[in-house]
Amino acid sequence: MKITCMARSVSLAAAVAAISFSSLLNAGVTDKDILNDATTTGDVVSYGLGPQGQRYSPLKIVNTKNVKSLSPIWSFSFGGEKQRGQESQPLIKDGVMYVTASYSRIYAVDIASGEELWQYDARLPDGIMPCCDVVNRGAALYGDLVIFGTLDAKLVALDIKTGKPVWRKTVGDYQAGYSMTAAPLVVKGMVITGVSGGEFGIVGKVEARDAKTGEMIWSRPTVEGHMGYLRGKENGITGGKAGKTWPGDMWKTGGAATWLGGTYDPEVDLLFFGTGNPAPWNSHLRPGDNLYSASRLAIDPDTGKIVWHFQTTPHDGWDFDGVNELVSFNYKQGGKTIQAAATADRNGFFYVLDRTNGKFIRGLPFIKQMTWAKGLNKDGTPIYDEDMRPGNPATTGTDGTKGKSVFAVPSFLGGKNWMPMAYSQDTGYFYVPSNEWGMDIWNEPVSYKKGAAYLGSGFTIKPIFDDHIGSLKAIDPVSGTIKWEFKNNAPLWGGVLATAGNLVFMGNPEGYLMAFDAKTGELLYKFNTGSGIVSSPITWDKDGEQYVTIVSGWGGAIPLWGGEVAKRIKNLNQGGSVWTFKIPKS
Amino acid sequence: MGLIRMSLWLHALCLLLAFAIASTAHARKYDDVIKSQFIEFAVYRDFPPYSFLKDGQPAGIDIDIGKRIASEMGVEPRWFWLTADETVDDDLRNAVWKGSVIGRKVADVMMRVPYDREFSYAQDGYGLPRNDMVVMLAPYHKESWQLLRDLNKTGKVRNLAIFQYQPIGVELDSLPDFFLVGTYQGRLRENVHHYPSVFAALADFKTGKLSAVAGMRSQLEWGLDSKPHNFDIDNDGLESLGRKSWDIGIAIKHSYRQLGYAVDAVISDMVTNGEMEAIFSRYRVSYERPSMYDVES
Repeated sequence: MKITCMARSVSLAAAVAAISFSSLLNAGVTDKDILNDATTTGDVVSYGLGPQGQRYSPLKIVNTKNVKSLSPIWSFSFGGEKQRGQESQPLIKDGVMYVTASYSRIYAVDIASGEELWQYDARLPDGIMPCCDVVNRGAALYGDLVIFGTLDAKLVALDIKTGKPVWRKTVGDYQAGYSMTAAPLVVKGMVITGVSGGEFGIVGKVEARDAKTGEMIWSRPTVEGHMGYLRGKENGITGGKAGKTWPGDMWKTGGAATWLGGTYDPEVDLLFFGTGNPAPWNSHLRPGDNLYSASRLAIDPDTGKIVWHFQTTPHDGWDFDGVNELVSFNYKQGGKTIQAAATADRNGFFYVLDRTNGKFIRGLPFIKQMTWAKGLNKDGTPIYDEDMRPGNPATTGTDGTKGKSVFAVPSFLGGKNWMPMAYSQDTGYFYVPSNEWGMDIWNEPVSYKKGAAYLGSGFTIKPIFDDHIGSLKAIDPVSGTIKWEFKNNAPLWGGVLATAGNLVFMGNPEGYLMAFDAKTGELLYKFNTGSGIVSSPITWDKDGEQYVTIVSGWGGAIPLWGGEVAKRIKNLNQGGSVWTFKIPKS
Repeated sequence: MGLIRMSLWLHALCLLLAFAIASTAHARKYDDVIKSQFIEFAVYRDFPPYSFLKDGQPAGIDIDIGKRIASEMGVEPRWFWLTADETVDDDLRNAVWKGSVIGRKVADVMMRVPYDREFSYAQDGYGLPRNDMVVMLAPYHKESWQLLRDLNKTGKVRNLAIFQYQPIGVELDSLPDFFLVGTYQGRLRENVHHYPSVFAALADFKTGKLSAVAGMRSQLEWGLDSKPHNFDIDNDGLESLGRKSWDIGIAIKHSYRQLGYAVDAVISDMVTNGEMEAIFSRYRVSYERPSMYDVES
């Protein structure tokens, strides 16, 4: 099917404004700009404020002393009838903000006035089945292009001045269940993406394309047994060969979707991508480790070969889908610099790894009352509680009963879901947005699929505590201890930002942009944006003033589930807007 | 929660009655269907022999039944091609009462919906009804899981033990898939071959790569263009499968029961006067009446 896309009309004034901006541009965004993004405070040219994904800004114009006077200077509405979850992290370059929105839309906004310069709406086919709301998490910039993924699994590059498409590539067949919601990553002139489609029958992959043209450079499937390609030539089978950790032919449809995108560390020159759950979800059907599901993969950006892997949940039986981001950081120990990386997994464990080789350094549970595992072994593998593994479908009888039900903590929505954590170079802490919830999970025999009797899965998600589900935690990765916690009534579903102003910013579903003291966790500031926040904040400076921007718009996966979680969110309203703040000049 | 939802529905119903709103984008009441001179059926996309495109034209058992219903009601049939979601619960939401998150459109009637009291009244983990926004009625078919064997390969063995040694094909993520992979402590697992559709499995069966295929009876029969005497279809070996057969009917939005009764009347005549069986035989498919008619006869 041919998908046609069009940008909405651009007013003449906006076009003229865009052209005048373009005259200020030099060569557009370069690889160097992206590598330096974490230290160049005047722009934000990558998802994660730098390819390492630390989400840390050295700015301290806004700090613990003055943050209470932070005030909104403009709010921009995405408009239209389309609202739902807004999970985007905006980008800033040469006076223009590039921000994606629900239903695969993207906008260019003048950062001085909040006025729209252009808008592009991907025209989505009716038949797409996004699993978990119609979100988009952000774009990438390279040269004169802004690049983002759409719900029908296309990668689209637009001219940053006009919003007109320059190239468009199909990443996967949406009719086969592929989709795209993550922000692309640009490394060495290549745009590097994963793919969504957590459900049955797909195989995850990481792909690199020429960012200027969209031409494929390499492709690396994430399930053992599948062939990788480099410039059209065979480039080795993932994991060496098929069938080592999968029974029968199940590796062919093994899952391990790379739906959250990845990070890159120039020091070790490696890409880091997380992979999702193995398929089918019931682990009794696929004995084995099921590589490389629920893993962190280190990939050579030049060849697309897997250099090392670390699997958080071998033989995942809880649908943890541990795809979480791996964030690089260095620390000193015994006078030596350790090149480490950390990840907070859906399964509830926080891991510190040696990012040169993937070896486990230490780990700790970051959620309370975990039931599925009793701890971690010396190599970082979980010590399973086999009583807490959901039941074998073969023992679900013909009598229509639902079989064994287990209460697993965390729930499959995760100790931490997609929302990115931040790392402060000042405190040395990771700030992890987490949720305290569990699930009853069982095999559901009263179930049908496409006109046929089926064996589904049933689950109910339950809070662990009466007064909160959401929990923002400061974790010291060196001592392996939790330094402070902020409890939030509703589940947290947005990203975090740390700054040199000793501040940590994040939004909550109740609608507040909040700022915390990075050392103590004291809540110093909050402002209600009028709809729930499930996005990641950014900060930048211009002419001696520091700005903070966050997208507001309630949605994402949480509203899709009912029961006791729904009680905490039933009064939250949808929306779709961008809010920008600064300290008013006295 | 349920009560709030119900009171909202009553409110919406009152508005509908007061203003007699006719909308083509939503499921409609009987009078509006008749007045508009068309009825829209939700049918699964690319799903032979029930609903598919043949030379660009809608064809299949469910299409033929829909045409017959429309002609009996004096209206034109239209087709709402439905991409199957993870479960029928999702399909009912997408096709009958809410619409998909992209298109927000629904059909008047959905075909090939289970007619199963346990399913109609099923509750979720919180004790709330799973499918209270639709009514499932008018059973017209009984479908079943069966095994197609090549007797030249499986010989006289009628149980599943033979598949410790011989390859068997299934559609990915179907009940026979889970059953065969899980049963006998996983001893058949290495010989279960997964395919994107049962027809892809049948292609390998016909070339001799598989000794058997497990699937829905109608699809197995339709997928075999001819049936040599060494091909055998029955349910031997599937005795302990969770659900061996089930009835199929239609679904409508719960607020449009009058339309459901009108469709039910046509379907009921078709089952009793032999028209239904004739439609199935056009597609080389054996017809089995839904259980409701066992009681009457």
